[in-house]
Amino acid sequence: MFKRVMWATDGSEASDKTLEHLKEFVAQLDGELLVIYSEEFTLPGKGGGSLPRHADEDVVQDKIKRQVAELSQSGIPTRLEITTSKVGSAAHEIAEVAERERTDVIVVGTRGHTLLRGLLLGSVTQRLLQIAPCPVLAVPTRLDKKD
Amino acid sequence: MILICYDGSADSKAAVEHAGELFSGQPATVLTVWQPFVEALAHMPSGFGMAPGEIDYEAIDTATRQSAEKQAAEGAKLAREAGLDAQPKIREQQTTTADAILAEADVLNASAILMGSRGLTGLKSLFLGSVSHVVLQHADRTVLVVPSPDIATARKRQRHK
Repeated sequence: MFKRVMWATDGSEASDKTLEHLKEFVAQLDGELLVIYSEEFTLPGKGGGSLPRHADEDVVQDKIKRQVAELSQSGIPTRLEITTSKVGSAAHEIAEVAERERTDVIVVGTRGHTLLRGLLLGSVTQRLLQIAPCPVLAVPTRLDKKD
Repeated sequence: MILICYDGSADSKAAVEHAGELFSGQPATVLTVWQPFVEALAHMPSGFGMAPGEIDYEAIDTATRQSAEKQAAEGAKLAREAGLDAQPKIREQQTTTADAILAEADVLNASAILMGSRGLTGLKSLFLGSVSHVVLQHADRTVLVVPSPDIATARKRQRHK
């Protein structure tokens, strides 16, 4: 049953941990994957004077490109979309793309509780859950797994 | 085993439908949570205007439980129609609905919890319902949050303003 799956990653370690689960999920659905990363800037547009939000933006993007390659190699048709948004509107960007692409489900990682219970959801994930035009699959990614 | 939270609302029906599409053929428990009357009363400082002696808690709870069973059965039927190997279940809420859901998920060791987003149309569609919010914050397992078609449409309209 063909499904359009989107993986919204913020380039964090927590997001990275959703990869295995994501692979299984998409493969089992016989789906197609769109990986989306929203590059946040401090000012609108890339034009004059704006700075990327993450100092190591290039490193993050390289990692995501490698992840996309890994997903493709595992047999899942995978595309990458890197969008630009003002700081704080990444969720809006992601929702826009999901609507345009007629995404069936958006997969996001949750931060996982370390010492800070209640910060399970990153701010983008939280916002996305409120505005997404389709179901959202929130995958727990415990950074300090204790059993 | 997936756990589908069902309360008869449009978005919980949407959750059942999507469960069928995304977790096809899997065993599913369709859960309806019910609240004992004494708990409902506890949330109303002024009470319902009834003297304690007048209330037949047992009769009310029996009726509530039956209603919940009927609802869970309806949800399970929809889930089976959607291709899931579904069974209905009801659970009594001790503290909050979210806690009941999380407790059931633990008992089942559910691979995923599925629930409606429970927004309202219009501006209010931008907010996540309180139960979904709490479950998302505390679940140690995958949670699928599903907006009903009306909510999905309202959200799109909001974004295009």
